[in-house]
Amino acid sequence: MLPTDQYSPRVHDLLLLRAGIVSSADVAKPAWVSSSPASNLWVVVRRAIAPDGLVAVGIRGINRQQRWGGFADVANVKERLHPSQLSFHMACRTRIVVPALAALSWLEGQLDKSELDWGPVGSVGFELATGQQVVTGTSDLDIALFAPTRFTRETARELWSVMKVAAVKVDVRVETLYCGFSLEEYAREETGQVLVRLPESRQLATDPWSVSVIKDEK
Amino acid sequence: MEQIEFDYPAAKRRITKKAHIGVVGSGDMEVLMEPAQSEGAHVSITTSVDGFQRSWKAVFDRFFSKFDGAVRIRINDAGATPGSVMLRLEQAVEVISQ
Repeated sequence: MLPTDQYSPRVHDLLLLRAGIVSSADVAKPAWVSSSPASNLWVVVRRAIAPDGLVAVGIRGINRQQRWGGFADVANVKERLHPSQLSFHMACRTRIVVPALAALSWLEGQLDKSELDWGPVGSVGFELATGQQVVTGTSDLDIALFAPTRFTRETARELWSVMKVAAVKVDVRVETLYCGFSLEEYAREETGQVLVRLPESRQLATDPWSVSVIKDEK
Repeated sequence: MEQIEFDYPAAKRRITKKAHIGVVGSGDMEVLMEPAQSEGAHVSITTSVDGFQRSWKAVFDRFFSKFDGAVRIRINDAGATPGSVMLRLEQAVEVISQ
């Protein structure tokens, strides 16, 4: 059985919450979270295990230190955007002067979305989904590439050779069904093992697609 | 952006190899481990996340309580968690020990 069905939110998805009620079991809300608008709050799905009916989300503040992780009720999700649904044409046209957004526009011409499930995440993804201009002149371009089935290091090298020549630093996270890892690291010639991110831990693995999470049957 | 430096003069075992591990991506870091130029080990960290000097100190105190190589370690950090830092350091040690 797959850990998630296609309708449940996946890591990196952006969610628009009907009511901005985000709770946390362990950490008190910082003041900037409490002062965020209570309705129409955009949050990003985190890589974490959430209790039944809830989804682990992150809230972005105004500056880069302001990140807060909590849980939102799945029933409060009004809209959901997967990274592949986000593209440069959703940005305000004048934003082409911002290097990370220009790099996305360029990358869209290099990589066909019909063949690969990929899209912008991080500040670029957030700006495209919300219209809030959070991308700065020094922002990187963060990309998520969804690969439920294994691809070879040779394929990784071909993909990375396209992405690494972008005008800004491109950070590509490959997502298997269970974990995430860096395309750059996987593509590197001398790398034996890559660092894989799991909901509760990180570990080193030679083949990231062989890493799985044993979950209790619900 | 913050620059942090530590010295571990007791780490004196001679090292001959070097390692380049990890990537500068969100929540990760790059580490370059090579033979020290002078006696003892020296660590220099460039991090995008300010204010975590004490956490870095704790990680390296723990690392050098087990590792005694005279290495020069350079880190480019983009917000790696302490757990990831340890994994990256162990990975680098494995490469220089081969």
